[in-house]
Amino acid sequence: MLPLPEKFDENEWFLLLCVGLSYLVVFLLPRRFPRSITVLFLLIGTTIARLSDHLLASPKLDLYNIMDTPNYDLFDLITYFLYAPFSYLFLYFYDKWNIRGYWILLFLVLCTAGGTLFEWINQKFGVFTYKGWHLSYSFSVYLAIQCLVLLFFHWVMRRQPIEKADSH
Amino acid sequence: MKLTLIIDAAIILLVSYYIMKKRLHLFENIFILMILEFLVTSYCAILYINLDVWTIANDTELFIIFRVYETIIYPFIWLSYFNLQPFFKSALSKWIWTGLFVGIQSVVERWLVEWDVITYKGWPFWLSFILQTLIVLIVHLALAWYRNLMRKEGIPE
Repeated sequence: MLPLPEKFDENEWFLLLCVGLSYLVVFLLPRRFPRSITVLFLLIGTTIARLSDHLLASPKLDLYNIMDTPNYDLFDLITYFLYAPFSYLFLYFYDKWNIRGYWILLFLVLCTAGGTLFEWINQKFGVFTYKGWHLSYSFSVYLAIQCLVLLFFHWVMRRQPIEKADSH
Repeated sequence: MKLTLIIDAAIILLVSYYIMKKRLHLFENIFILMILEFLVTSYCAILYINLDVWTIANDTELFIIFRVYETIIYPFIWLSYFNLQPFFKSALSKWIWTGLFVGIQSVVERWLVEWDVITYKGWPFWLSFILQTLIVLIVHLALAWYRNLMRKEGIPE
């Protein structure tokens, strides 16, 4: 059902390394949000990535491939685990640094640039293979998605009935 | 015509969900929605890309119908089910309620087959029925875990 990679090479190693490191960072950082909210902040990244890839990279549009094949294989699934810590860390630092006003814009642009750079590295390692997609489109997509994620963050935090976990 | 019908149905479903008296906490609703979006897109991708037992219509109108089904209609039908389920107290009524919604989901899928949005290639319809049941069970398990997490943090249900 979920095929294994055609060849276990650099893109698979790169992905596993990134997943391992990103979760390590998440677990090492002091807890900032209640666990129930942390789960939502992790899931939002995974869900948005899954939906975007499903809409943009599946047959009909098919603008890029993820990993070795155009199929939905096991390592495609693992890439979604990578988005979860990224969305969490994005919101973690947004909240920790208490970013307000025009600083939000700078934060968004920097994170979008960081995300695009990371995607470029992923592309070099063969995690993504573009077929009509261009890296500059990713910048716009990340910018739009990060705005949505920030709106989601404020929406959730306004409704959370319990105090934030002690950060330090 | 088919596209406008499905978009109207999706809007009616969304409005009904919005005005519905929800029995689950807002966070539970968000959690279920995200899990369902992930599950349904994966389930459909496995069936029509990996296993090639479904073909999705190439026609743009029918293809959009499929996307509306996957991303709005399918998850919001289950979300309505989860919000209405607490009204049923006995185990038997809960099972009947679950069976009814598995039936509704299967009928909607069958409808898409009749409209040629989905074409089965040796795919027996009863397997869809089993997969719907499996998906609802997975979501139930995930929700039970998340509810336990919320309870430990003192978030009222």
